[in-house]
Amino acid sequence: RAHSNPFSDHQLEYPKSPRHMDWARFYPDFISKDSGTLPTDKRVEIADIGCGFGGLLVDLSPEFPETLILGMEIRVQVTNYVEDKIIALRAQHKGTGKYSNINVIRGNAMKFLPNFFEKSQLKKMFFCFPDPHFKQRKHKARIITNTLLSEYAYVLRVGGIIYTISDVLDLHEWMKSHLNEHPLFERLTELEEKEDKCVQIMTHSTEEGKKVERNKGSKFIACYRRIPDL
Amino acid sequence: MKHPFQLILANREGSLLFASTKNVVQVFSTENGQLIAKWIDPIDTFHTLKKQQKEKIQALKEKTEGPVKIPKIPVPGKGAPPIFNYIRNMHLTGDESKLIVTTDSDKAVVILELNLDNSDFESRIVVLSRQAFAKRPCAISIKEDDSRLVVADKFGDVYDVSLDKNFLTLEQQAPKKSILGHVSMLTNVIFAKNHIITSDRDEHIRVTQYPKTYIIERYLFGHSQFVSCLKLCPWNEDILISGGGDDFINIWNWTTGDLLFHLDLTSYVQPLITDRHLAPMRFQNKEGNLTETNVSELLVHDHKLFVLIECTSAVLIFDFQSTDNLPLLHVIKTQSPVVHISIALSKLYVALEDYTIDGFEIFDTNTFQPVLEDVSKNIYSNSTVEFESTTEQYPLYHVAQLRKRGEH
Repeated sequence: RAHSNPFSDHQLEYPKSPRHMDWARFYPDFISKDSGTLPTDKRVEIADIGCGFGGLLVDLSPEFPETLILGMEIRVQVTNYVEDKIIALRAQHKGTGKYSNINVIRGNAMKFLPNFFEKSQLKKMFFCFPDPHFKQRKHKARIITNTLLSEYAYVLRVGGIIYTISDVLDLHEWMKSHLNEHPLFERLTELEEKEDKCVQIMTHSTEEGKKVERNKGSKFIACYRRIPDL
Repeated sequence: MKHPFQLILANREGSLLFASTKNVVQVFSTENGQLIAKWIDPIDTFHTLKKQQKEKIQALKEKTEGPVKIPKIPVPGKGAPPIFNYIRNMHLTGDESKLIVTTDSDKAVVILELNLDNSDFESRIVVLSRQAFAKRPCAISIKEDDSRLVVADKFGDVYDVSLDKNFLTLEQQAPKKSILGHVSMLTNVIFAKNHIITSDRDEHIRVTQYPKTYIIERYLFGHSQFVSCLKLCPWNEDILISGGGDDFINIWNWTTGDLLFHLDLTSYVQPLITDRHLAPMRFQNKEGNLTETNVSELLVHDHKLFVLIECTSAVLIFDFQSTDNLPLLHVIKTQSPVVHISIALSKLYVALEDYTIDGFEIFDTNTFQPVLEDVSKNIYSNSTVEFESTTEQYPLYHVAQLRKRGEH
């Protein structure tokens, strides 16, 4: 099943609130020997929204070895694929702790992001090659809209960064204009975008990104910082 | 047969009773039960479809030369549910000079001016403004100073509209930009101090700043089923009461996010359950005895909490003098299931599922006894909304439909 309707899929599991979420089973290597749970300061801080086949997660993992990274994906089979991939990677590198800081969850980020993450929890959010939803009447289903940006601003801490990349110019312009319009985001400077290692990783690491390269398509990038409420 | 009232609303003084039935709003005097005013929504149920047909014809005419084949208006096929022309919400402005309703027929918010003293019956309710929205409005809230109106729709968007005198007389299309949104059907929207509180079908209660509606302050987590009712405590505006598809009601301090009290309704609801609360066949358990109950109205008044469980012949009344404990004060029992309730001063108004003469009752909120029986019988007998065959009757209970079902 290639598509899942984010507005009406009622078979999702999601926690009643962020406190009800058991993150320890996602990142068992980080469980504290004393408490048997994750230390209170160990929370997911990087989220890949629509993580697809997990390419970005795998490449981000060694760059931020002490940070918990979560991929969210709405498609069941794709989520299962990523789960298996992570299990295999962890087994391959057993004893080193590699890839213990990444995991994936089947979830609807448009509806339930605040159920998973506390206010100001995240440091980084990635939106890589999102579904363009070309038709006018489907624009509401795009992952970046003015109303959703307020929710992303809620889970992202001040100074946190949203990374977007797309090979569809129309979608890139759409995301840029909505982010520009939203009072809680300001665009990174060209220099900042160039020097951010996450931008490099995001540009080359996903399946979609590699496909775009093979087809000699263009990639359009826009990154924004969450600024304080005023 | 008389059609039961679907929504009722008393004015602050308790001198008037507004009742909406099908696409009709009637206003009764609670002194003698007389029908003082009436408004019928003239827009028919096929309005939006006809509009779409007109647009299609226009588009075809522009593309082709010569006669255009008129596209058919889709008519519901055999077995399709009938379309009803509901009035879904009814609110009085703070100064009670206007009644604001939402209509399903053209997905509009209609602002009605009340001139109930006018000697001409027809001029007592006048349409001041009618604004159609892209999606069906589900809930509205009027700012305390009557300056603004927020409209929440079934797709999750909230729009902010001015109620300024000059603005009202213009027929307008609804604003295109929403001030905030959930990706879920909204069930309530409330102005609260400098905030807006919204609830949805996905169990969320959200507190957002106003007018800086891009700043979400917090969520109140605690419900496991849709939230259908959200009310502010009139004697302490920091307190919010919520209820829906759960077996409990939550009482919050929405300014801090604290859950002050969790009122478990299970034992009180148990004796009220009937066969009508059985879950639909497709979602039944093996024994076929799974029942589902939903809170369909909450009224907070005079340090009491009035709870209506959908389709039960009762109103539960709890003592709300403190948020530490809400003991049950009384259960008002009625002859037929209660469709809706409203309150003013020391009277509780009850609309019942009755088709002859007993569709309306008034109770004293201190003694809990029925009062003013003559007036209540007059009100119901003066109602002009009747029907003959069952196909003309509108469904009276919608809250149960908000429950989410997983796929099979």
